[in-house]
Amino acid sequence: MRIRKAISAALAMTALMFLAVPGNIMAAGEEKAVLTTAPQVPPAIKRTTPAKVLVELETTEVKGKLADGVEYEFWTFNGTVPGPFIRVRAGDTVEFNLKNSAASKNIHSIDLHSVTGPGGGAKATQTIPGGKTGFLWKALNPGIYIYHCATSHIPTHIANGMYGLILVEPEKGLPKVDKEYYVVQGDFYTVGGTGDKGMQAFSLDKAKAEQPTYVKFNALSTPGNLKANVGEKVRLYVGNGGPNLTSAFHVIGEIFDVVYQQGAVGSEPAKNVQTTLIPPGGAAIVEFKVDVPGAYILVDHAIFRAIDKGAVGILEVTGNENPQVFKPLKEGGKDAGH
Amino acid sequence: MGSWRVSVILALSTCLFYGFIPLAGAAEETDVKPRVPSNKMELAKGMANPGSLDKGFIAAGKEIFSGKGRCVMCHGETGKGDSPMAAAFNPKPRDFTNLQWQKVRTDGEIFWAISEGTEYGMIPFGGSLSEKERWQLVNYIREIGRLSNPTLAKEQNN
Repeated sequence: MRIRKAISAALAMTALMFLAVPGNIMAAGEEKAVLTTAPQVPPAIKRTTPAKVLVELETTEVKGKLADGVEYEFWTFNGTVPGPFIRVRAGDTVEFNLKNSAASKNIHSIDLHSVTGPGGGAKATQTIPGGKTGFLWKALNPGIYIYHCATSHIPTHIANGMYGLILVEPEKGLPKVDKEYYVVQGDFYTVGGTGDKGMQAFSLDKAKAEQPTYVKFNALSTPGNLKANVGEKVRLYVGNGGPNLTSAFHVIGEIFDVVYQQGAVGSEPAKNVQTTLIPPGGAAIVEFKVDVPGAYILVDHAIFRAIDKGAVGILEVTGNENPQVFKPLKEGGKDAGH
Repeated sequence: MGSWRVSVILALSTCLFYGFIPLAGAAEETDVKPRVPSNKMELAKGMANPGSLDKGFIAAGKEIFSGKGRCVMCHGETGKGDSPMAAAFNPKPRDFTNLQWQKVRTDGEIFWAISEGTEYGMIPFGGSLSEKERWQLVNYIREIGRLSNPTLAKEQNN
C-alpha cells in the first residue's frame, strides 16, 4: 500500500514538473520558446533560473497583401512580417535553428542583435533552400532587439520583410502591465507608385534612393486592432526593420508614461514622452495607461508616411467615459472656451 | 590662335591618356582583383583541387550552381554576374566568363571564397555545401570559362 502511494506521488510530481514550465520540455532545464505572430507577445517568463531554450524559425517567400489591391512577394521568417516575437531571459542559453523552406528561391540567414558572436549568427546560418543550420548563444544583455536576415544582398532581404523582435527579459522581469503588443515598422519599395494595383515587384532603385512607396506597421501579420480596456497599462514593443527610415513613433491622443529608449532595458527609462525615435535595426519599449475610451492611432509622425504611405495602426480602448480627463464639448456650449 | 588650338588638343590628349584610359584599366583591375583576404591568400592558393574533370563531376557542379546553391541568383544563369540581384552589388559578383579572371585566380581561391564568403557580399557555403560539392562548383566555374573562351580550352589542352 505504501509502495503504491509512493509511486502515485512520484508520478504526480513528475506530471507537475512537466506542467509547471511553459513550453514543451525537451530535457531537464530545457524548453521550447513560445513564439507569437504580431501583434501578440508571448507570456512573461516565470522562471527564476536560466534554462536552455530552443528556438526554431523557418524562412519562406510568400505572396501577400501590401495594401488594398496591392500584392507583393514578402521574404519572411515563419511566413509573417514581422517574424515571430521571441522571448528569452537574461542568462539563458539559446539553441537557435534556422530552416530555409525548400520552396525558397534564395539563401537566407539570421543576425540577432541580441547575440554576442560573429555576425550575430549570420555566418553560422547561411542556409540553402531545404537546408537547416543552427548555433548556440548565451543571452548576456537584457533588452529588446531586432533580428534580420543577413544574406547578400542584405538590404534587399530586409526590404522584403525579413525582420522581427527578440526580448531578452532582465533576470527579475519587467514591471507587470495589463496588455503587451508587438509592432514593427518597415519601409517598402515597389516598382509601381503608391496605390498602383496588382502584383508589385521590388524596386532596387527606389530602395537605394530611400524613396519608399509604402511604410507599414506589421505589414503581413494577424489583422485587426490592438485592444485594451480603460484603466489598463499597455506596453508596446516597437521595432523598426527599416531598411532606411528612422521612425518618429507616436500614438495620437496618448503620452508614453515610460519609454525604454533604444530598447535599453536596465537604463533609467524616459518619462512623459510624446514621440520617440526608433532607428532602423533598433527598437523601443513604450508604456502608457489608457484613461479614456476611443481609437488611438499609432503613427510614424513623419506624417506623410502615415497619411499617404500606410504607417498607421489602431489601439481600440473600450470602457466607461472619463470626463475628468477628457470631455468633448457640445457645439457652441458655454464652456467651449472659444 | 594656332598655339592655343595645339594647347587644347594637347590637354585633351593628356586627359584621354592619363584620365580616361587608366579609369578603364581600373574597371578591369576590379574584375580580376583578389577577393580572398591577403592574410588567407597563401592558404587559399596552396589548396590542391582534388576534384575531377569528368563530365559527371562538372554536371553535378552545374546542378548545384542552378539548384540548391542558388549561385544563379547573383552570378546569373550564364555565370556572367549579371542577374537582376547583381545590380545591387559593388563590386559586382564575379563574371566567370572573364578570360583574364579565369587565368589569374586559382582554384584554391575560388574554393576559399565559396567556403568562407568574402567581404564583397559572397555568402559562405562552408556550412551548407559539402567539400566535394564546393569542388564540383569550382570545376563547373572553370568549365564556364572554357566554354566562353575557346582559346582557354585550347591552352589547357596543350
